[in-house]
Amino acid sequence: MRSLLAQSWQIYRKDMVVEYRTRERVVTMFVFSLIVVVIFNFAFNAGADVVQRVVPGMIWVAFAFAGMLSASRSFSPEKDRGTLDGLLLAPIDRGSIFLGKLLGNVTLIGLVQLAMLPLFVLFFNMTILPHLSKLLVIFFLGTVGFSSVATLFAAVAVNTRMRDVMLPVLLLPVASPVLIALVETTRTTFEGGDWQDMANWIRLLSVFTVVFLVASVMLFEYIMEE
Amino acid sequence: MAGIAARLRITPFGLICLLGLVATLYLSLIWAPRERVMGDVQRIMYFHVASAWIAEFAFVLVGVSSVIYLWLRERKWDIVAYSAAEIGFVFCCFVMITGPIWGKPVWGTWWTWDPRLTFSMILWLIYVAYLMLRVYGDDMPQVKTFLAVLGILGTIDIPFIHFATMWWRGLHPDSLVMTEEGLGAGMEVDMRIALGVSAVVFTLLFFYLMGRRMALERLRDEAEDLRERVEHRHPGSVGV
Repeated sequence: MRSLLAQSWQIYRKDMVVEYRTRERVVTMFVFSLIVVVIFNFAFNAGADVVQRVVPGMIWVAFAFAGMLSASRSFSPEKDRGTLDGLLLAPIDRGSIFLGKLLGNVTLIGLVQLAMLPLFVLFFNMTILPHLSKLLVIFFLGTVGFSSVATLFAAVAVNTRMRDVMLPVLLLPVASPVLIALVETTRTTFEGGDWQDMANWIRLLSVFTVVFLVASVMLFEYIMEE
Repeated sequence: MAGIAARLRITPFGLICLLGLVATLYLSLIWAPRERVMGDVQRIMYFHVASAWIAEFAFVLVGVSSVIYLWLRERKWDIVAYSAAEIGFVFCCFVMITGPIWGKPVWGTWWTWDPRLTFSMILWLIYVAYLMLRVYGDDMPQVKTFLAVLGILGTIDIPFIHFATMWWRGLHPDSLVMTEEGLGAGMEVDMRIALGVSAVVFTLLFFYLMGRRMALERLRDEAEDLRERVEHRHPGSVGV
């Protein structure tokens, strides 16, 4: 167990060093989320009255797309440069490759979320500070749950002919319960709701995250075998 | 009768399914009483509910055979999963078509984002993803493993989709089949019988189609095998 975590940490560190040198992924994700928000604004022409109802959905569409970008880019360069084979040859547990990649995705999505939240305040006049602790818990749970499935399916999609199209097709239907739960809890939070008002959703988010995290670690081994 | 059946290559099991379908049509369209409020359009329920049952049952079968495939690595179980996915998808499409036909006169709208409609929609999309991966990944050796992974995750996902869509909103008529008073307590006896027969016949039909579909897949494997052997002995003699 300890070596699994240590190995995951090594994979994570490697990915983050590469990312720190190029800053490719996190910048693309941020710009992409920003564009989604701007386009959504045109699409709904949201006045002050509608904004409260639309923003939670907008937030999670932006982050879901950013998350897919992150997951997809965590495997495609490795595949294209042939370094994925090197990773597989390394004398480490396959599960640690998955955990390292997952941790990387959660970190990058988290960074983009931190950068985007002030912009939501700016653009839509939202009050976030009083709800910050609740939002952090919800965002963390949801991001880990979503990224588990996203990382697993990205590893599948990178091997297919239509890899860019396959990831959303595989991921979004399976991740839809998480997305519904995230939008609902975020909306309840912004409306000033308490933990009590969203107990069911939090339970669903937690159970989904745990179940899919465990299932993904177990299934990743099968995906990566030659 | 047996002569015609033999010429049409209908097996005894196929014949039972055919007779069962005729009986289902009679029971649900003529024999069952006319619903007081909705009228004759309610009769579509006998097919709609039975298909929905098959659509869900088939996906669970995909999940179970996917687990066995990852465990034993026998092509047989991949064939079971693939066949169940294809036939389940057909029934899921049937659910998506019959739903709106009933919804328009009764609810006044073709589609609404009610829990069970949303559930069927997401299940339908997972079926689509499964079949798309099968088609676009056909040339890869690992595609069977990928499909098994998707089959397993999709099946684990079913309860989550169920609760998420249920808590999200509600308009669908309360289930009359699984009520607190017992199975089918919300319906007339005759309606219950018609629906029961319909569900049993659809299940038989599903297994009949499974048998045919799996036989087809095995024939494809055999044809592929023969082609390779001929190609091996006489290179260039077989096209493709």
